Amino acid sequence: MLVQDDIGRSTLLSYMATLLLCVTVVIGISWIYTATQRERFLESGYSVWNAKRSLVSHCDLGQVVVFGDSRADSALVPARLKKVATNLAVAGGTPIESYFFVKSMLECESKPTVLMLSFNPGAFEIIQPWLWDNSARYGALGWRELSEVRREAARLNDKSYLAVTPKLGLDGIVRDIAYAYGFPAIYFDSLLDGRLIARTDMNRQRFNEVVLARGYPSYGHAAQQAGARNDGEQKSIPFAPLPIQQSYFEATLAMLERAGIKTYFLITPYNTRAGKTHDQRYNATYLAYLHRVDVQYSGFQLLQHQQPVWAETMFVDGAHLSQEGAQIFSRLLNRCIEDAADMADLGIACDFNQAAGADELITADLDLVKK
Amino acid sequence: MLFNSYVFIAFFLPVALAGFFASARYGRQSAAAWLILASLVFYAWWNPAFLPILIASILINYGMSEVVARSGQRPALQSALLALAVGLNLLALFYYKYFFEVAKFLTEDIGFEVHADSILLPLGISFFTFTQIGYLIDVKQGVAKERGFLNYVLFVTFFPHLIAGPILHHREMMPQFAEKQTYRFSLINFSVGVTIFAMGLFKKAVLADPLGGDVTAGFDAPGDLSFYGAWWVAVRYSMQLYFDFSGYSDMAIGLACMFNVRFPLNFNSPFKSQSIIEYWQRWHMTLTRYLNQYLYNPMALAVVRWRSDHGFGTKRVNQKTLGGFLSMTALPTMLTMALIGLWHGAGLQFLLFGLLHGAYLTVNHALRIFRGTASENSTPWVAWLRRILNIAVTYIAVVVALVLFRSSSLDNAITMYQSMLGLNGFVFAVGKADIIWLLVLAIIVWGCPNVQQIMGQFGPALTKVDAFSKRVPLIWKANAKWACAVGVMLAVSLMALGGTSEFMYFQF
Repeated sequence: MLVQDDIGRSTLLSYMATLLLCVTVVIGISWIYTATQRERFLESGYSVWNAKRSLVSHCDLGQVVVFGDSRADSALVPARLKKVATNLAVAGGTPIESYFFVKSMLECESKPTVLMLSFNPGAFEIIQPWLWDNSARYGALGWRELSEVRREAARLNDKSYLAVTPKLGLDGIVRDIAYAYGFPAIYFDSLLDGRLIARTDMNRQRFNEVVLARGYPSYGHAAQQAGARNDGEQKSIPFAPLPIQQSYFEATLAMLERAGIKTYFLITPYNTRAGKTHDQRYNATYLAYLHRVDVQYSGFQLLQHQQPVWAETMFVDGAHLSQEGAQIFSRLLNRCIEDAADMADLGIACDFNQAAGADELITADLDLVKK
Repeated sequence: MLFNSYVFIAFFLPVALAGFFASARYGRQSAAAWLILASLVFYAWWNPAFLPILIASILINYGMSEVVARSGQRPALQSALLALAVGLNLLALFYYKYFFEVAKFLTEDIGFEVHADSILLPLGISFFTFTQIGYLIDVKQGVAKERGFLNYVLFVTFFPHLIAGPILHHREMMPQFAEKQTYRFSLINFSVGVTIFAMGLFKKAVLADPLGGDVTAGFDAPGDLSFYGAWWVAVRYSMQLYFDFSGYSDMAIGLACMFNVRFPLNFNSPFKSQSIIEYWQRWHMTLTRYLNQYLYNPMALAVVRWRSDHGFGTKRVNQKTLGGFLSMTALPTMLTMALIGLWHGAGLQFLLFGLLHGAYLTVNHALRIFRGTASENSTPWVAWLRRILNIAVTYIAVVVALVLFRSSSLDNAITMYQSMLGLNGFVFAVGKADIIWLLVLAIIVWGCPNVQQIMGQFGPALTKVDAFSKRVPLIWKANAKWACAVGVMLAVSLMALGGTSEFMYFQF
């Protein structure tokens, strides 16, 4: 059918072989580069994760450690606590990521006295694509961890795990292979945006900042209009946790109980607008779930009986506390810890909306912020 | 399934190719059956619920075409049967594509309540419906000679064109499926096909898709854009659509080539056009061809007959009168372009997009007819400048019209136009890197030969294109240099597939 088909077979075969070789070489070089030079091109989220992983791998944890999602990540300023504390919550974190973080942490000789877990309800209800786009892509979860989760999901007959499609557009075991072994396609956008090497300084600076702040990455200053964004929250009414998330949450608690570490569940504040959108029945079933777990594990305790609702001016968006909001929240938490006779029994002193004096403290800090 | 997805490239295509040539050993029919099966899997991948619609459409149309063919002795009955068959196709198209929007318009804007639930548009319905209507008409006119069922099904379902074109003509496809050679593996066709496919994939994944972010943000909130911002977004969109459609068309041709089949050309550097008439001869060429053949020409012919019957002149000189121009040129042009607009979607903005292009074409025809062509005695510099100016004016006209094409509603389009007129200020906030990238794209669009010119000597498409300037040494050869260049493009494209996005023409 072609106009010119007099090219020899060997010429064509060597053309196709060279083409294939070039594809392999380019992908191979990219693979090596993306596996070894991530700080040169990845977004700043990578440095934040890396800083937290570094704190764990150096067993530099202190007495109080917080694990959880981005709300907790934005809320706890360790420097505001009198006890040495570390914020190991991560953006997009769910009980699955926390389980593996906690597992690494427990390999340290010096363990923290108190551990705080903090997730928004949505973290229990879905598996976020961030499990791959953050945790696996940043190298925090590898093939062993992803395989373990996949097996556990199969054991629980939880099909949600295999169905999640992260940015790469794949699902199932192929997705896990691509992310676990860092197929360069998962970094392509970052390579472009980071112009291959343009983010080195920014990432190094961010890494140092977060390590110095003991895991706290500032989310910035308060936004003019915080909105009511509820990412990953309230997916169903009543609250219905996924078996896989429940399983990892409870496995984490069991692991901590065995290690003799007291664990608290900390609910970070919602802004007033987001608070209004919350369904009462949903909140009630969510808290009932946490209470049930509280009863089941003697080393686990809920720190609050209500979800704190704060003014929108304390947030950078609908979900995350601003630098100012985080300072106030951390001071309240510090007071709660300091007020308690025993760190292993904080009781309900940490009811951030209701506790005597909390409103005054917020007002006072707000005045301070305004000044 | 998308051509630019891992499952297609790593699994579907190798299996489809291997199965096709392996089954060809057992005869042409088994190879054709395999290819049909593969094409149906390809189609059903996204939503299996649409498969029965495609199959029903094929069976009904083939059945009707046979009835039409056999009633040739009774012309009136044959015409009625053809009208029924075409009507059924248009009814199905109307139901899936327009009914919900029309019902919404009647209920919300006119106050005449029509109950309609949102209807999911079956993938590629416009393409396979148009293809089959064309076949029905040709059967009636007696020009469809090859009418075997298997070849017909293959002609309609052949996966490289099934979802977003090109809109094929049975005369150029069915004979190819009847040829023995088609069923024998050809290394040259495979190599040329892979090369064209790689170039198309590169255009889609590396050149088009990264432009999408700013475009979406801009068209979502056109009121936030300044004069420069609005033009920036509109130009970026034109580039995104250009490389998206060009990439898709190359990939379709490349895929067909791997199966020893040649497609008609669908895209031929439309932004190099020096007039809107030329633009429509280079953009979505098979749609233009189809509508010319089955809509514009019959309409123009009907006008000519009417004029002739009523004593009006129909010669070229009569076309130079206002009445002659309006009836014989402007009317069929405006109607055809209005339908092209509506073919793209049910919104008012699509109708206006078609009408705007209709107006452009009418003006273009008027200039051609009343003013004549430019003097050929001008110096090379003047001719060059005129050419640049023509290209620039045509491109700007296209960009302005594309605002309607991309906007989610007419209100959004109007807001975008207001921004483009500077009614929202003149702040310039575009990064240096973005400007450089756009310049690179502009060089590719206006300064480089297209894939058909690069591969032209091998005739991978049925349509020939003009040779590119010999000063640009970009003619493909099966050597190491080209292998490396195409290999790098393919590797980068494969890595860019993360977050795969659909081809823009899939929605039509």
